[in-house]
Amino acid sequence: MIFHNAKGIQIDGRKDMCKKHPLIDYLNPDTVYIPLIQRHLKLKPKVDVGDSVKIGQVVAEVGGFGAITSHASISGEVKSFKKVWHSSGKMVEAIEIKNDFKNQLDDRIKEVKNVKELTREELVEIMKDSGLTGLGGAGFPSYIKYQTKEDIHTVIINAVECEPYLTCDYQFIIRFAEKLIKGATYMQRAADANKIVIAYKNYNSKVVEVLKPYLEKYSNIELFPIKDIYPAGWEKYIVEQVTGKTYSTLPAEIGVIVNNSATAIIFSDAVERNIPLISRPVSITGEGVKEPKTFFVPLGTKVSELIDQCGGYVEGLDPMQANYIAGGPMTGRAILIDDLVVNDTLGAVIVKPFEIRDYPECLGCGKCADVCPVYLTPTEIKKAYERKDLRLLDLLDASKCMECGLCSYICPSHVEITDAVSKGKALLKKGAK
Amino acid sequence: MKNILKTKGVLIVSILLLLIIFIFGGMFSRYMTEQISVHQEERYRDSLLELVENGKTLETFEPTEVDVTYTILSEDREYQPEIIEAYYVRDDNENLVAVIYVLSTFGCEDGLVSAYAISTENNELINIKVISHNETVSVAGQFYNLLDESFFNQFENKNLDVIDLSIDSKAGATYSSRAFEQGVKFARELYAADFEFEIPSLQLTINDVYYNYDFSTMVDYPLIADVTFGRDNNVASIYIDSDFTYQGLASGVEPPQEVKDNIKVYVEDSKIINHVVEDMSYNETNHEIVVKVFGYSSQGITVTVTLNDSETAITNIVLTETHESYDADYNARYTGNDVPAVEEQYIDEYLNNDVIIDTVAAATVTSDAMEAVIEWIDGLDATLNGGG
Amino acid sequence: MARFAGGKAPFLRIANEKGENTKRIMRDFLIGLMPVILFSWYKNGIQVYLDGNINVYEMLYPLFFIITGGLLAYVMEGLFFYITSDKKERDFKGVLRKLNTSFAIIPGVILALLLPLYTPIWILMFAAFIATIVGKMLFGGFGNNVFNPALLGYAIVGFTFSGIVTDINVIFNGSEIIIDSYAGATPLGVLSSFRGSGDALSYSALVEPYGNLWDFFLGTIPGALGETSALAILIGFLWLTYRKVIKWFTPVIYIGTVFVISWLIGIIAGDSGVWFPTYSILTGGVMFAAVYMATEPVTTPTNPLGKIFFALFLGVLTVLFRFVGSLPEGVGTSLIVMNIFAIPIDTYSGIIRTKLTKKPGIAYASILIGVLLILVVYTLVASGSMYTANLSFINAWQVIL
Repeated sequence: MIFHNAKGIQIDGRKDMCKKHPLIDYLNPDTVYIPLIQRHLKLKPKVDVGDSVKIGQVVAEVGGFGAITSHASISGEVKSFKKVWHSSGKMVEAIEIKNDFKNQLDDRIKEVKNVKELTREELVEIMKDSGLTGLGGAGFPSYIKYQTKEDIHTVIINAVECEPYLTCDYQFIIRFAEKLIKGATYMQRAADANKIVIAYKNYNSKVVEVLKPYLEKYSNIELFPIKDIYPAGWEKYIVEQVTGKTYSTLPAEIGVIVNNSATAIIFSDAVERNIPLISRPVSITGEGVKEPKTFFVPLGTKVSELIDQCGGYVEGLDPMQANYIAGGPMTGRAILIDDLVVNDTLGAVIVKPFEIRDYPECLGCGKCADVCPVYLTPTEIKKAYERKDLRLLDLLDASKCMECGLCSYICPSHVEITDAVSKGKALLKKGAK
Repeated sequence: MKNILKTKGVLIVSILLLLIIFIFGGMFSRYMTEQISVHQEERYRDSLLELVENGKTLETFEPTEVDVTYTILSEDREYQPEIIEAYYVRDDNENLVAVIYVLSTFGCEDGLVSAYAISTENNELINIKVISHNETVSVAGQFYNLLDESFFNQFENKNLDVIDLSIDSKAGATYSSRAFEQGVKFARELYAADFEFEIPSLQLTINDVYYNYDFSTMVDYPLIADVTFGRDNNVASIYIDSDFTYQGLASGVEPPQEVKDNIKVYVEDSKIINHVVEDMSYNETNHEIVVKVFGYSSQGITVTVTLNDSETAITNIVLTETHESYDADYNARYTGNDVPAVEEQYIDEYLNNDVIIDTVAAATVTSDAMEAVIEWIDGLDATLNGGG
Repeated sequence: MARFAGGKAPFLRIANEKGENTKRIMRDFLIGLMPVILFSWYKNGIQVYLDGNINVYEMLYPLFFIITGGLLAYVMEGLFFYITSDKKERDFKGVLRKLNTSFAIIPGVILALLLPLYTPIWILMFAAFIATIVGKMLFGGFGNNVFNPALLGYAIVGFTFSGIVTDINVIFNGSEIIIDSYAGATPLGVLSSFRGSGDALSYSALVEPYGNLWDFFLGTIPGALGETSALAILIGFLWLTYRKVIKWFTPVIYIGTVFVISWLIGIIAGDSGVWFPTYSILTGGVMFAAVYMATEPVTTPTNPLGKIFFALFLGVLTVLFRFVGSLPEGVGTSLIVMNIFAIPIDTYSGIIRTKLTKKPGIAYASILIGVLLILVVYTLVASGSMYTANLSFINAWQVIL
């Protein structure tokens, strides 16, 4: 159809930058900062200044809907409670833990013997205990998905990683291919599903290469190639591609659970060795760093430390004149300082130089409407937002926007259109209440 | 200085640029506009030269004044065509080969400007070219548009050394056709005045034209013209038909062939009878004469006149057939009854009151035709009474 | 407008890539105008010069005229920026920087292409002033103008100096002085003489005076500088489509609408030949407007559905104004009207796009389609009564409606 042809667009991936080096372990940073925030929930610290903590020890938690626990990612001493820059773009309270380099493990971390006998409920409980969240970027506690009342038939592992620059999932899979398969099967059991689909980008042939050997063993796992377009990693898009069905709010409605591949890998450790979510892969990339690399780091590691590991900044770039993009370049946030800590949702930090340029006004070319994967008309929503016209915002379905960023990406006049639409969406939400 | 350039530089440069565009561009566009008329003049002269095959140069001259007038058909008044320009056309060797008169004649409207090229070598009208006109044009190809190639072909190499210089009119574009004819005639007059050319003419005078009421010959020879011709002033009565063509000698001296050939033009010009009533048939047993006259419709109006047995008086006049439509051409200004009210009104008035009524408003053409019929009948009546 | 590159997500922008931004779009648009510019120069200058009918200065004039149009718009916008800028930015650097993102040349060039060749330069200056300053800068500059600047300039000049423009309209360009068989009438002028005449439209009256329809396609007929050649416009269209500057369907739908409705009018007026709709789309500015003005991004709807509605409405209005209205050319007027309605169409189509199967979507879609249908029917009925006094069933039809 002329006006419904938009199903994402191909964006130059620039992923080679980060693929030169394999996944590097950087497990012993000097200090870590465990943020006392989980999405919008404030966590209550369970330790005090001066306490010594072990790897895997619960240091903070919150109850209620979306209850979650945070664990110490290194062993050492709690130095203080301090505000640090967080990937959400704000400064948040965090527990500062000084590494004693003894790598003492908490008692809970031990080999689990009866893996095969674990029931569905027990698996979900492990998921909750380990503080597992969606590592793709949403940071939504994973166990909530599995507490669904719907009948789940398929678990989809999202290994698409459609955002440009990002390679952390890809490298994580290459390194821990077996764990991915195992984690996926545990997830299948936790959901009581009968099928696993691993969705990957069709040009990442290496993913197939490393996963192929396991497929013979697990007959219910299926590899599903997805086109190299953005936003192919979007949950709705993958579900539609795999099952051919669409849903309104949650994939569980049509019996599907989608999990990030990194989440699956962490989950296999959680099930087999009871290791909670204490580390994750992070790509440090962008035009601003000398040698972009992907690290496997404990949560709470400072990004500045990782940049040093990458050989520092490129010649002539003042760290204060650089832009630190937390997350992917399409949906991430700009942090103006490298004093940023790795948290569960931070998949990458992209360092780019600042620029101020002259851009023309919106010329009305309509490219934003062309690329919108949910067929919105961003320019109209922007106008409605500027007039604060709630009725029109509702008519234009501003709430449908998933903030994929394509409209701003495609805009030839560099109009902050995604920003305006998401503000319109927020206004609509506020106004509707 | 540097400071001024920095702060006011844009202003100065912009205004300078605008000024340059205004002055230089203005001059350029003015030059272009002037070139339009230059090109038009070139094109006009070229098109005039195209009329004469071996013509190379044009030279204007002042033609001799002549005093000839023609009738404007559409307004029924006399006028003299206007001389716009006149050119001598010379060939490569500077020899005069032709002359071109650009004349403005009156067709439907004033200002039918045409160029008439006359060869000075063999006294022929080489061709004509329409320069401009105000005639009624129709997108559907009516009126002036009817003048097609076959019409204009008549002018090509037309010999001027003849008495009858008439042009066949196109039906539906009569006024325009006649304007061209007048243009050709006027051009010949001018040519005759400017060069040693004599317009051929006949010594022929039309004394009278009247209807033939003799029952034995009236159908074949409806009209009789009394003429005087020749140096000896010979007198003759000539039978002519409704087209004014020579049909035979009624009485007097037999005229020469020249007179017989050209009687038509002379009768037409005399304008004694404009509306001809045609005798269709005469029935001896019923004593009925059928006559026909042409009004608006080309199918005519047919009237039957019945005489008494002794053929000494008119007993009845009946309208047999009519195809008129009074209002079609007059935007419905006609307010009377439907066809054939006008025709019958004429007949009734004549039968009952013995008068010929005036033209009926908005039905002029039909009225004229009927008036002619009634006059013809009146003449017949007078003849019958006088003779009987 | 200066903006902070990288302040907000997404951090990857096409606008920052070389050759993918608005500047590239506008440059490509100008390149897309080149076939038309070159053809009009060929037809009005080079060809006539080669035939030996004009001198070299006259040959250069069409090009001079078009370049002057662009230059005028550029200089006037520069002046405007100078006047409205802060004291600090009133130097060449500041003004040029603003001109860089304002794309001043394009309306000037289009304006020159819309005007007859023999327009005096001071009228061109006035038109450029209206186009750039009134039509564009006073609305807030590039991207904020409601009307197509060039078209506004053309329309205002057409009204204010109608005497002068009509006079020179008789001679549209150099070649037509030489070929006088047209008697100075443009095809649309001939068409308008049919209005209410009761005569059936005929090929011999409409097309034959200018040759055949192939001449209409090539553009060797009288008309404004840029409008006559469908071929040159088609080349421009292919280029613009290839470079994704315009959407291919806007011109196609617009021309298609004009074609179909003209055909219907032709059938009503008693000639169902395909020549009539073909003639209808090849005369006047239909082609030029379709490719260069109905697709102009700023003054037309942004989303694809809106563009489709815009093109449909524009087509119907063009036919309505051309066949029923008193102006021979319907394209400019319909574009100016539709420039205003582009704003609601944009909003409505945005709603229809996202709520296609829901209640508001259907409601707005019915409004648009309803208005469109009413316009189509009105156009057919009104032009039917104008071009056919002789067909009685049309009159009966009118009574019923």
